[in-house]
Amino acid sequence: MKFAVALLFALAILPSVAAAQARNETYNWLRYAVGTQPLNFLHAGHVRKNCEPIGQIRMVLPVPPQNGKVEAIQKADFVEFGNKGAFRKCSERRTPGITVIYRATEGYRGSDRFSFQLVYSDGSTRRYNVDMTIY
Amino acid sequence: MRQHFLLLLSAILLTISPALAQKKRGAEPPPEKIQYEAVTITAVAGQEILVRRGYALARDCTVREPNRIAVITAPKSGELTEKSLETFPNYPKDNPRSACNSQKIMATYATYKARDDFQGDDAFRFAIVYFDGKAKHFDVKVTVLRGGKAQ
Repeated sequence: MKFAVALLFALAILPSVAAAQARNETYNWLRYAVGTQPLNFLHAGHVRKNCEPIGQIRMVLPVPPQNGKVEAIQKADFVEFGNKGAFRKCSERRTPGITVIYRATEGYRGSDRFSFQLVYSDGSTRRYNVDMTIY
Repeated sequence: MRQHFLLLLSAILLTISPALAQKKRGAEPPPEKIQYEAVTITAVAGQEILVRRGYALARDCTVREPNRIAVITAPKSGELTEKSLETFPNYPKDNPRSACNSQKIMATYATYKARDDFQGDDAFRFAIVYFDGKAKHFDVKVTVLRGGKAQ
């Protein structure tokens, strides 16, 4: 009985423990474009509290778009770290990182769906599942 | 007694643990359906109305573009057009970009012009699609008055 209870308890807390170690985040986005309007989805940068950049960020495409193209370019731009907290001041300067850009195929109108994932230098990830409507 | 308590606790944790783990991962709820903002305007036939404008600025006040107008349902008795016009931004005071409010920028406007000979009700739907793929959708009802000759 004691073993059964212990096993059940371990099973119960396992997902929370795993999540704490992985630091993986998932976002579901609804986004729009007009024709081949290039979209700058986001600029991602990874910094210390003094705003000094940390390592490289890479992008992978677990689910590529069927009717467009997603690419990541290396550049320095503004990252939204929010208006509060320790990183607030880092939002005011350009941070080296990657900008994720989407462009629909010429002449295409309708929907598209894809996922891109950013892998940070500390091994954490952010996955973005994007539902696109192209007008 | 103690075993029963642990059993109950485990059952509760087993139920809520996946939800807690999901929350910890930062997962967002599925995106919602399009929300249209209702807009009611009055126009005189042939008069150009600046219905809505869209702009986006970076922290250093540089313009983020392109921002575009998507015509979702065209007006039956007039034209909905995208125009690029100068304007002053209007960020609220608590927005760090409010310092840019004194600087003229180019914005993307949705303009409506009813046919010269039209009088009555018109309607259309459009979206301002921003440089980052976010959008604001509008459901517009127009009352078009008969135009008088300029004196």
